[in-house]
Amino acid sequence: MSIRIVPVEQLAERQAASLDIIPLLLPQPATLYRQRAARLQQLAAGHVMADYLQLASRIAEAQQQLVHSQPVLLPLREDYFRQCAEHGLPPLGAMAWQRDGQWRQLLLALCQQLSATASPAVQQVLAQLQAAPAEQHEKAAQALLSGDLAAVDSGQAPFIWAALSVYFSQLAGQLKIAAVAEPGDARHLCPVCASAPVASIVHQGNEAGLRYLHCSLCESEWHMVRAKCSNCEATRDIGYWSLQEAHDAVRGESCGDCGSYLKILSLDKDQQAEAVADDLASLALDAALEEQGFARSGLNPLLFPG
Amino acid sequence: MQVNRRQFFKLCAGGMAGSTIATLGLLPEKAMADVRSYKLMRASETRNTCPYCSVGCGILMYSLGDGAKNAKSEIFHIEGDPDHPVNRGALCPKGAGLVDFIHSPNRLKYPEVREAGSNEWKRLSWDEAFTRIAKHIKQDRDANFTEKNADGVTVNRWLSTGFLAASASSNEAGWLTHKFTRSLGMLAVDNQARV
Repeated sequence: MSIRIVPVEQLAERQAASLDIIPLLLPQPATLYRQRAARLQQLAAGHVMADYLQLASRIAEAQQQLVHSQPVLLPLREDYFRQCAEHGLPPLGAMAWQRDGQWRQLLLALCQQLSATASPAVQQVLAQLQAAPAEQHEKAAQALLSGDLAAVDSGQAPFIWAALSVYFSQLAGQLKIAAVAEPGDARHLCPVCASAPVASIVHQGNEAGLRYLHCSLCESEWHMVRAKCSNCEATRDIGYWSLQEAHDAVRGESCGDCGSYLKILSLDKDQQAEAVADDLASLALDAALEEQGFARSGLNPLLFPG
Repeated sequence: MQVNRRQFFKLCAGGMAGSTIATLGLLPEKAMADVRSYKLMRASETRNTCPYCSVGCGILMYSLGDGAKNAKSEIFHIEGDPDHPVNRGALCPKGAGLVDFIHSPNRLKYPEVREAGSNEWKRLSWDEAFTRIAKHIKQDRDANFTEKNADGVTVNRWLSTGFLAASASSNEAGWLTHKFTRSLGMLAVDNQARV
């Protein structure tokens, strides 16, 4: 893995200069879901998918409340983290990490919180989730985290994923680790939890102009060079697609070599753009790119394919 | 080492029938029709090196069009490459004006010559230009090449002509520059290292 997670005390000796690009930005779950909820609300106004964006906004808002009402603490597994670092494995590998039952409590609390304002169809899904036994939740979580999306009902998946995300993002936010960039390009998955990204974000401020991939599960962001396929690293035939202006805040980055695309958000065009929200609100671009023969290589946690 | 690439999805295929949005009963009928009202545009971002000085700043060039053979693509924006180790996205004022340099009507597009004693520039073909330069080089070298110095030691040098190479030269261009100049015995070789 070319972004390597090392114990924090090793950072000083490995980092050459302060001008180096920061390879990994750990999540800040204390505010991120609220920002997402607000952005979804903003995008919903006048949108053809307004109802759905509003539901998505309520899910994100419920996630934020859970971060504050039921905080998750990172277990003391120093040996485990050290071993991960030694072997170049992600410290919170979504499949490898032994989850405790707390994520299921988060799921039940999330369902309860949402059911009050939900439509009948959504209420039905929430009721099914609340009634399901713990083993079924674990089985569904394992299937989703391993990428077997077809095994889980697409209506239930966003709620299960939302609870998992609240759990993993808080763990990731507390990691005492540092990341160093190493030669090699294997940056297609999150270096913290090995999940797929939602979208690319071209940052402003200290990281102005740099592209970071936003993790669909733990909400970390990791750096990847621009004008390059984030899935297969080819540079030969990269296209930037947009529906309005040539340089929209939301564009699709396609690769002629592997046939995939991922959205890329430019914060210099729209400061408030947010990975999950803006990706969800630009579904028309997905449809247009699919018509061009490309397939999506990113996962939006609030919209699962059938 | 992680070698598996990411999973691919088709979100909109089949009118999104099995997706979350349909399962939760929130698929608006006109959502997919909405797509038709937009015009899809393709642009490119191409990495290159600024041509001006030997600092060699990385640049990203934005162009419209898909690079297809018969379609004319046009560069509409140039910025510093934020990933480039030399300039990390920054450009000097001259580099920042590159897009105007590319589209400048005053840009030199073909060889021209101003004959000695004339104040007029005359257009000539690339072949004529190369032949002319080669003739000048040969003439000067024939007249001034030194095979042996005063002590009779073989030196094979040619001091009356110098060579100024470009700034943004690759290793390969540098190799060719040396191959060309040194094999003629030329000693004065420099690169355009400053703006």
